Amino acid sequence: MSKQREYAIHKAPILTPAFFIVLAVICIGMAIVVYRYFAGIGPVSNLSNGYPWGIWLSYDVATGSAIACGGYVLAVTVYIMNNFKYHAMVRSAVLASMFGYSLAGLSVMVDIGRYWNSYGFFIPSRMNPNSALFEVALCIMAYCVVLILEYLPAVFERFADSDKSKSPKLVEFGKTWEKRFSKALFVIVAIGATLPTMHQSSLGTLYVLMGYKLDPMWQTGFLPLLFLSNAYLMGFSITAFETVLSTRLLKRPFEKEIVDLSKVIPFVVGFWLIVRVISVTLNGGWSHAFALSTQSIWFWLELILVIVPSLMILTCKYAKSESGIFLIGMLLLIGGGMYRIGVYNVGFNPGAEWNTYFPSVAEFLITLSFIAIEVFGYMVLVKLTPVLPNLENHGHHH
Amino acid sequence: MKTNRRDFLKAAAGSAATAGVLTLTPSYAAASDEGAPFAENTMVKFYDSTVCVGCQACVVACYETNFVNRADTLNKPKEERNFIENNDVVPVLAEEDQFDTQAPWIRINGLDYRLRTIIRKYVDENEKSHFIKQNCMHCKKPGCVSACPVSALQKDKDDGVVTYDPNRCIGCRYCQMACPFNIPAFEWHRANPKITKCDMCRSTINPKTNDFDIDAEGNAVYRDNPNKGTACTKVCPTGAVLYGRREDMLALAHNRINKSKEKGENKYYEDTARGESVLGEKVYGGTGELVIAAVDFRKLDFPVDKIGDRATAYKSEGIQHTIYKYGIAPIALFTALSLVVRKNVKKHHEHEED
Repeated sequence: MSKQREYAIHKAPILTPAFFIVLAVICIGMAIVVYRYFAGIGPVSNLSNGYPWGIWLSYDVATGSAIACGGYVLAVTVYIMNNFKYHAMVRSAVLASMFGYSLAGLSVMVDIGRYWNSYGFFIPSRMNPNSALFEVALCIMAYCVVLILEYLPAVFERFADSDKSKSPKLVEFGKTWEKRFSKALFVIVAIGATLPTMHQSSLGTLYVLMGYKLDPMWQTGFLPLLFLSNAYLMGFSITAFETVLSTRLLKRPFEKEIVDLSKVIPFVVGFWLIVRVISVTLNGGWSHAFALSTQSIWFWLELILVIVPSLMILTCKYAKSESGIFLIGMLLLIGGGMYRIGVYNVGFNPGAEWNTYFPSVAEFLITLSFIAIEVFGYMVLVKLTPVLPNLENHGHHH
Repeated sequence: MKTNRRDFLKAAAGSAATAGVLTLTPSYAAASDEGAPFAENTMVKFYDSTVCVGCQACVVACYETNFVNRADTLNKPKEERNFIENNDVVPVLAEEDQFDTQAPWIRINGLDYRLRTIIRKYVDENEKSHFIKQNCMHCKKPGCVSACPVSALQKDKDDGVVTYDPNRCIGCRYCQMACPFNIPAFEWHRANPKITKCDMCRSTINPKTNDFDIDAEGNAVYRDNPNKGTACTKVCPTGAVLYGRREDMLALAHNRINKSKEKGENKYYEDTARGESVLGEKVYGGTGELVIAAVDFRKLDFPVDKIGDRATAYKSEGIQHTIYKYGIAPIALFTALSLVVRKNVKKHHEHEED
């Protein structure tokens, strides 16, 4: 390769103290998962017939997949909106998305009771296209494959750039497949931009069916649109947050491109906010919003946590600094995530006969271990394959 | 090669608008089968709360047929599949199935995985007891059937019964989330958990054939086996719960209300505000369970105002169908995107080679 590579392996030891802490969290969670497979879901969770969906779906799937939308929004920004100056950030976002989505899929296998029947999704006579969940499941499975395909060039590049005298065949293999993939890239990217548009909106459609059981502050026919725009918000926010996080944890220079990218956030939030206000008004949700309850507090927090950081981006110089981006990214992720959990758990009320759902310790630990697997996989793969921007390119990047 | 911010925002607004059109329009598109009448042979249970004495023989019979004697029942030839008439038997629960207040998935005095039907009691301000039979309502447009991603729940096109197939079920519990009456129950404590729900004995006695006569009450009497019918209806000593064609049962229900009015008793509650005297006539777009009672349905745990008279599935399916009909929108989106990406990547490479 005559040209300087755009991405590079992050040169740092893999076996750090953080590695072992994360590994321990994973082991605890997996032990509970094993217990769940023998004892059933009841003994490890606080779920009931009134509240059958808990944080494994509201956080791991609905919120986790939105946090994993960094790859999606960057692919749209770079390849569709034609902003190649952000190209160097694509690969790390794709890797994080790959883990986010795969783990969302895996946690579903913990959550569903009769996982051995899942092959039914591929049997035509069993498919139910009326079900938003059917669409979400197929689409997320397909998108996991697409994300792996989007990440694979990093592996081929790793092979292509390895020592030729030691393993000539591997180098040859890497080079061949790198070329093949770069030709097919546009198809993979286009599928990768279509699928999340579909399932991120369907994650909202799921709750239209719940009718009155979802509080009017959240229930609306606009749910698909709100979830889709929220996915954009989450995607941009996680990209900003992750950039600063890798700056600090991996001790890399600050990627200033993120300041420009963050400027789009207020517009996404603005669009989401308009739809949100219209839908609450149409559904008569304001009377609930002004009554003091857990739900109404959640509702207002959710709004404040996306409005305040957006105003900061528009008006405040601090928003351009490293710590400013970090804070804004974090607030938006919490606010955007709260919206999803608001729909999935907080706003859901089947009636007064059941105890309100609050996740059990075991549920939290399992979710925590899934997050740990994501962090673990990301930390290891950036040190094994070229994922992060090549620092030697820094400065003379267009 | 540089795009300025305005272009970027324009493009962003454009794609947001496209996505908006894709997702917005469907909310108001009508689904095709809405407003169609019930299938002619729709079979229902008709429950008259004023006749019920709360003996719970129906609960016992259901338990015997569908749980205790399930294996025996299924081993018998089809025509002999009737429940065992023994009202003295009280459901004896296996040790692992005993009530446990520590287990959050068990709802005392409510439906759970051990029973497909229960009788609940409501005591009014005059200390008078009113009973209500709680079980699957076999809705005209069931939320559970619409929800189930793998078609484990299905509504029979002929008799309208909503059935459950554990060999298809993946245990996702979307049916529980979607049910406006909170009926399906899950076996939270099992490694092999199933959904419990009334299927009008289709998986055991199977009174499915249309080979029945209608007696004076409108009740279905099977020619091959007069004892056949759902377990709960056959055992009821007062005839509080009957099994028959929806049309006949609805006529019977209105007849009882009208007669009571003529006599000046007015013993039945009529929801005049919503225009529904027989519960199930209108609520959630109509159900396959009809109920008449002396008290407000709301007091018997039917939040009819919240549930409304339209099945939510019409709305969510409208959204799904509009977006995904024949896969047109996703394919169009994909095609457009791949053209744009190809153009942009090509331009980018040319620029890099300069």
